[in-house]
Amino acid sequence: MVKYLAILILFASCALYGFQSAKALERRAAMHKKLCSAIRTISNVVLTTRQPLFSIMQKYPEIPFRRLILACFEGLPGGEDAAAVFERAEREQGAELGGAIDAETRQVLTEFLLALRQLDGSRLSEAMKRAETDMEKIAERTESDSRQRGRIYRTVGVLLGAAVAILLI
Amino acid sequence: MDRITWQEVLLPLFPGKVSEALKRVGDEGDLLEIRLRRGLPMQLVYPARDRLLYAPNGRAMMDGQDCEQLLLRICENSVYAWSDELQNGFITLQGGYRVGISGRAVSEQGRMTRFSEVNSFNFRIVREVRGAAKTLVEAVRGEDGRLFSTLIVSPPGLGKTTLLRDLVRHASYGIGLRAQRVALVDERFELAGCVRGLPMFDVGPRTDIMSGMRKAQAMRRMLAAMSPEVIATDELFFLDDIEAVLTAKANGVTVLASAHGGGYSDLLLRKPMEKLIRNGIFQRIAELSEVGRIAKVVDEKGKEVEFG
Repeated sequence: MVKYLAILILFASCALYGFQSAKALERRAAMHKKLCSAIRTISNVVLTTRQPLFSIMQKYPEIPFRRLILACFEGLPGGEDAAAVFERAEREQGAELGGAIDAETRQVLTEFLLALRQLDGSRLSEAMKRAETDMEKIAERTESDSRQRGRIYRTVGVLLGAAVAILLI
Repeated sequence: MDRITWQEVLLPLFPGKVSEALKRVGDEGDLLEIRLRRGLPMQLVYPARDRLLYAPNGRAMMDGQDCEQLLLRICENSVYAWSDELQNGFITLQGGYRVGISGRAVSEQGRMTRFSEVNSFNFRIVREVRGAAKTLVEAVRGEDGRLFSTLIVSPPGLGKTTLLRDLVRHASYGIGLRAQRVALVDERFELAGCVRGLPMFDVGPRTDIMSGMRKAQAMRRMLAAMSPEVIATDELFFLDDIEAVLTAKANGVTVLASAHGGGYSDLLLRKPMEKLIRNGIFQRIAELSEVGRIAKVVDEKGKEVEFG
């Protein structure tokens, strides 16, 4: 009895691990989608109203990851490098993220926020458009990744659990 | 309306060494300007003197990085939000304090688009003096309690803008006068000092403000759109401004304005202002002789009128 219980637990653990790995990919894809939405909204509001970023963030609470973006905006370009700024911001504000920000995403965000600080006119418009396009590409990739690999992880999890169960039985 | 002090607005913007130096110097209420220049000492300007302040060890107060950081802080870390103001060369801060900015400009198609380097900042400490027009009101009030069209004249720096602003306030609130609808044309953000649409000075509850537009164009728009009883504007100079004043008068609107000059006789000798004076457009002309001091008030014929 105890043996079958242990086998069941092992099977469930393997399957759960597979599902959780897939879920992590889905969260990552969702994070990139929201970052896309944030960049797009900020860009549109900047182009139409030309308000400072702090004002925009106050007036539009629906912008995703508002506090994180502001924390990074304030930290750049201070004495520390961009990676350290993002790490600190993720620690303080990152509970809503659902995962760490990878280096490529950080690069896109850094360039976007620096453009907002330092550029105006056509150069700012170009920089914002570039950031939007780059983030959309990342979001598409993680979405596709999530679909394909997620399926694999779920299947492998279940199969691995079944294999272990069979072996033990 | 309690105004925010210049220390509350400006000190948080400055590098630490600048703030510390200003705190040590203090302010007896007569500081006019704080000038910061790259590679040079800080200059404090007072009515009859100025003062140069160096950083510790005799160094310049501001280096290139300080100038860049200061500009970013002034622009709330979003230069794009202030690009029109930067092209005009000044930004109005909270409290109505203005900062003039100069440096190396980058032009595209003959038009300045941005600064590649900023080298100088001129922070003007603007002081609102409520009651500045108290002694003038009686002299510029008609029998029905409405304002006469009034021109305030003096050389630069004697308080024309401060007096004009307070006269607008009196008219808008109806203090010593019948309350009237005022259209305020504030081309250089000096009268109302609007920041994001909010006036930083008290110009009264019946005042509509048009900021940042050429005077003549703005006056015509206000006439057409806002149905004012009074139009107020600062520093008449160009022929177009004069024509706009004539249009306002032809529409039965009272005009309050200011102009650089020595007085009534001086204006008669200067084109295009003499056109306004000879046509008796302004029933009252107030001449300032010292900072905030009205020397005399004359009527449209140059005859002195009692006041005060």
